[in-house]
Amino acid sequence: MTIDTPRVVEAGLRAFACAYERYVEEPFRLGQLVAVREGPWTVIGAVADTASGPDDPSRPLQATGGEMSAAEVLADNPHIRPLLRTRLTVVSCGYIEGEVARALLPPTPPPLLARVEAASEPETVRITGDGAFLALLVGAPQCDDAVLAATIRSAAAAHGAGAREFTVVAGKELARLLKADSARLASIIRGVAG
Amino acid sequence: MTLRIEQLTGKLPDLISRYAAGLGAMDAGLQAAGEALNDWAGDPALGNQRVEDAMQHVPRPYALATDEACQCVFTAPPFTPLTVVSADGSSIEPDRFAPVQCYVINIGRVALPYRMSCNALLDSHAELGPEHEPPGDDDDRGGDTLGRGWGVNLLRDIAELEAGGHLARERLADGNVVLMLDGTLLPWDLDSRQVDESVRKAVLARTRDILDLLSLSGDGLSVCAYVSGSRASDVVTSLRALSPAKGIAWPASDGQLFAGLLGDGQRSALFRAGSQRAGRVETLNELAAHEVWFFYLRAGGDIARVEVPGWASSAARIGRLHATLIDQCARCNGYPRALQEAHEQAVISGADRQQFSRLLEAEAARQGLYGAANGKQESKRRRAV
Repeated sequence: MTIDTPRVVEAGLRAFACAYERYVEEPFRLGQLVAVREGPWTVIGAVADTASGPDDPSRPLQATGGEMSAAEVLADNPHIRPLLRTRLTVVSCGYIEGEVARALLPPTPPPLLARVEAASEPETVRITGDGAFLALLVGAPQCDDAVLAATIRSAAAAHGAGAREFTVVAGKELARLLKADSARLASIIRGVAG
Repeated sequence: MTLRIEQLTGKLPDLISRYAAGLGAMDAGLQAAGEALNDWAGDPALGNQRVEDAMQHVPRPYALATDEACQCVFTAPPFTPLTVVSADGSSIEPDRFAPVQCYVINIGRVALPYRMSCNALLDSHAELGPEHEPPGDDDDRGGDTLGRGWGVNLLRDIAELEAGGHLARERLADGNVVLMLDGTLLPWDLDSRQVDESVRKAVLARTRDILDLLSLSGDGLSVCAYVSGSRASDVVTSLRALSPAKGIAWPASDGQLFAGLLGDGQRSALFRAGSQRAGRVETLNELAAHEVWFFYLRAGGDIARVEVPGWASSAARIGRLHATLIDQCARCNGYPRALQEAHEQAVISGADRQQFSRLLEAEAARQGLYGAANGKQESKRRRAV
């Protein structure tokens, strides 16, 4: 089985959609930071949503298979997987141009059909280190509390030994951004701690 | 609503009851056909000789018996791991109202591996034609520059055969392959006088070449063309020639005959297609090495005609094909899954056709070409009262 890489299928400054060529059981995870390295700069974003289903809405997926597991049904019906798609919604949270990382909207959207790959640990550390990237996420309608918490947890893992220090920085930034919404702040912090 | 349904509903019951009465009158024909089938099986050489004699006088397609006893029915052997390959096509015909005459052929291909580790493939490929100067002015060869005689259906048929054939050969590297095509094995319009002679000759050569290539692909390849709900009557025509019964209503098609003989999943014996129709596709010398053999298959309520090249009629190849067809039909409500998915890949929707038409008009206008004004076409676009 080939390993699929999603590609940008709808591009905007604040968010973009990407899709795998077929259904994949383990796409990029909620909150994972991804990078689009094609174009004049590398656009970094956080996975805010994932959905899988038929590529053609006029051909709904039939729930067949009897006692078989999902993997067995897919193996027994090889036409199904290519007719399905897994799509991700990614919210931009910065871009890297040469040696400079900015927690700002990229000047232009990522190119359509560009490959979307996992952000490397150094890229993640550079974009998220001061917590400023959270401003774009907090303001994005696609990012609810769960997305924000998952993103902070995911980014913290990339900081390795500095994970705790990063989490504190992110918490302070969140407190500043959400000083008028303590309920939301508490919800996100619970998500990070959980 | 412009169709006044109420004007039809009262007449439907009478029409249907007349049809049902006709089916009832066919009982004697079915019995005579069954008796003739048994007699034929008793002495197939003599039966074939009598069919060959009849063929000389009546230019219709006949069936000839093979080594399989023609009254026998067969159940499918167990299904074994393999890849099912299929190709199907769809086309946009030249539009006489368009500023430039052209056509589109879209070919869908699928390769579905069962109990194998290789990848499935579902894709499509579109071709715009004509690629070169179209056939000359309207003359006795059947072609003209307005799109008539270009043989788009024929070009689509050969494109399907070639796409499926080449994909099947690729997949043989992974193991056994069953290649399924929709419709008849040999392109039907190869003998059509409506198609320009140069097109027919070129397609005939391409048909021969791809079938030659497939015939050299080894025993791991089974090949068939699948006709769902076939109305062919080759076997019935032969039985009428063999039977002494006269003045009875014979089954109108082989499907009606085998509907009473085949259980679900069973196939009939193999027959050879025979004909003395001069100039028709089945008698073209160039395809003599690819004689069509066929059997009938019951898949649920459907009696399908399954055509195979004579060179692919060994017991192992037919057994693999039979088992695969039953498995495929079970996966897709009585029709082979691979054919269904190839069709889905090939189909050109109404929206696609409109989009292509607009694209053609825009590009033609950019180059200063416009379609001739046509009142009927314009009035259909603007349906205001």
